[in-house]
Amino acid sequence: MVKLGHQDMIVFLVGLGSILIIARLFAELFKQFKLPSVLGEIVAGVLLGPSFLGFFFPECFEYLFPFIAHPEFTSTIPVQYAMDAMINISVIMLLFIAGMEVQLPLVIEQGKVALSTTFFSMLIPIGVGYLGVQMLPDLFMVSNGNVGIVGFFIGVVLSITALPVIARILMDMKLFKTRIGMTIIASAMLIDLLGWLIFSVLLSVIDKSETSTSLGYTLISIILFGGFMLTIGSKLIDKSLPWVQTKFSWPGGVLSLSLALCFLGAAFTESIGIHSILGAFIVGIAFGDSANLRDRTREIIHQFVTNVFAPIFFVSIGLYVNFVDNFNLPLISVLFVLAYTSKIFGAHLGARIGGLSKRDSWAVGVAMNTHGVLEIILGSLAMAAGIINEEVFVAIVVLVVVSIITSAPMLRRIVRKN
Amino acid sequence: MNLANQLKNRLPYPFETIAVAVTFSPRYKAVLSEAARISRIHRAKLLLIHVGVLSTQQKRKLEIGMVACHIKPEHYEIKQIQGAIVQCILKVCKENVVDLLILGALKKESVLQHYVGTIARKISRTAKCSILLLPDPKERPKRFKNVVVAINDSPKSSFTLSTSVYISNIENAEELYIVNEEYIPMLESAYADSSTDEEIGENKKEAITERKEKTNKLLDEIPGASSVDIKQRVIFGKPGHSIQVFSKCKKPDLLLVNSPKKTLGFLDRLFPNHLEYLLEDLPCNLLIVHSRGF
Repeated sequence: MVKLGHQDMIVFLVGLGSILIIARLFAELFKQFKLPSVLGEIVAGVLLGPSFLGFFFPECFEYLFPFIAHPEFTSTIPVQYAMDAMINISVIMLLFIAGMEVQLPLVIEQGKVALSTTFFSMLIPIGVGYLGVQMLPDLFMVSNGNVGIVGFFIGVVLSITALPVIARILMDMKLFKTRIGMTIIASAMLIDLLGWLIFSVLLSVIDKSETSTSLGYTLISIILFGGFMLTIGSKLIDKSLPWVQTKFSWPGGVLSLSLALCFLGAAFTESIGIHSILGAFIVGIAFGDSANLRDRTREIIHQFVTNVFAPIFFVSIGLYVNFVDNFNLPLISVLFVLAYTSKIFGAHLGARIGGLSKRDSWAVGVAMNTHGVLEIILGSLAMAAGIINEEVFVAIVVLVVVSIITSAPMLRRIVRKN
Repeated sequence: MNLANQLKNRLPYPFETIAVAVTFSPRYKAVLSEAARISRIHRAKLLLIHVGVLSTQQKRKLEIGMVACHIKPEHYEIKQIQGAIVQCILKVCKENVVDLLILGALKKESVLQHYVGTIARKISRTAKCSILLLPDPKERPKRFKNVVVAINDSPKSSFTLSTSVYISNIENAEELYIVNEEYIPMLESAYADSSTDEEIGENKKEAITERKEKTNKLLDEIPGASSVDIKQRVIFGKPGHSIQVFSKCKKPDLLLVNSPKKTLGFLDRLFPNHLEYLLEDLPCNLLIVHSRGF
């Protein structure tokens, strides 16, 4: 059995400890400015990584993260594997809690307006993203054969709405329970689900490995797995939760069982040729949908993942990618224009067709244009799969950061006008 | 005058016409007794709906039953109709502008029954009048001493609340428990990254105060509210499910809830609508208040 050596262990633990400490410090700092901790964690990663620490204090960077500074050294390979595993587990857990946020009954309850908002706020950004890449392939640095896939991917990124971020904004503005609020939340939930389904299909399509499967097989597998988990699977979880919550130690019992289900779901989808993230996401929906899941349990799972595993992933973004070298202002500007226009207009149109007033529809449009964590995960997976390069990834991260900062003031302005 | 005009601006109460579905099942006498008691205290006309042809013997049984329940012949009417059970019952209710339909119902359905749908549940999902489901009817019925009403953000809640006050007064109830169902989806995830328990607690406290203030305002406008012993509580959780859990613990004689926004279908059972949690396992007598005409 291959094990981490004594020195590897020290390097790995020092790296992990540094990541968590600096992430926490920056998360708390950003909290003072009423900004989500994820922004602090991304900035922490940029400062700890090659963009800042590696540039100004290379010895310090090499000491803390030799496996990143010198990936070519064979001695760092075990730590690279260990860190990669940690980051993958973090992403899987993030997708699990993202799934827990999706409440399908709420989507059904909102009915026509949610469906229409979802439809147009996905269709128009996907169309615009696709056309944008077709028209500017050089800017997106796409090789000829990949234009369609990259275009589609950019479209999916533009179409997703950051659910927890917008939920927090709506709660702070006391808009959450209004018709606008519920339309936004229900649509964002449905978009999350559809976005990850589309992205999983996309990943399967570009998978050139030996285990890759046909598109038809992938689609059937996704439908069968999703269909099973969201119906029978979720009922089984719902029926067994009261027993688990009373018979097992609490909250430890539910925590370990929920994560076990998440990993098994992820492993299953990976084994049938779909990315593991989709398994974690769908198991998250089935688990989070249970009416028997105690609020406190839900809260503990969220706290555990958001404060321990999420920082590892978000800091790692800045650690592995040089944000200074890959900062492409024209690309970022184009992505901004595409994102803001397509998403705001698409969601506005959908809400209007769904029956909201003109002004409320603009509020929905602006709110739906909040990008977040999932887009970054999507971007990092796409980068790992070779769909996009580092410059496009940096542009996506910048888009997310700016949209999180701007969405609350923009929404406040529109609502005040109303 | 057409039905829409008859129902326009009409409150869910008083119950002037009450109907009961008669099936001659082992519990039919108990259901009949309960219906008779309710129609008597509401001074309502009672319709006995039977789907199928009534034999002379069956008709006689019903008449004897009514005499035993002290209901005079001029106060009830037997309606026979042939066809699909659910549609027939709904048709009679519509044609006779029934205010309240009383049905005996199983307390709990099997998984298969839940998805296929039993008569009482099917009617509850589609009816355009208030429905009273009796999972445990008694041949010697008792008044509803403890009444619980579940209200939420829905505009229908004010009608359900006023109906609960009306019924509590008529039944001379000892207690009316107003339960506000508060559901804030995503509260945990929205505050997971940067907030402490205190902040989430503050959020919940704020919601509780807001809800109680709203309820008090509503109660001020409801006639007869001051003559009922009212208790209030705000519970957090999925609507429908949280009130089901509450009712199982509290064991009231009657629970009142809003009727669903729309006719419930299979999808609403697969991804449960609020009412489906209650229909899946009835915690007590359930009155689904239909705030029609509004």
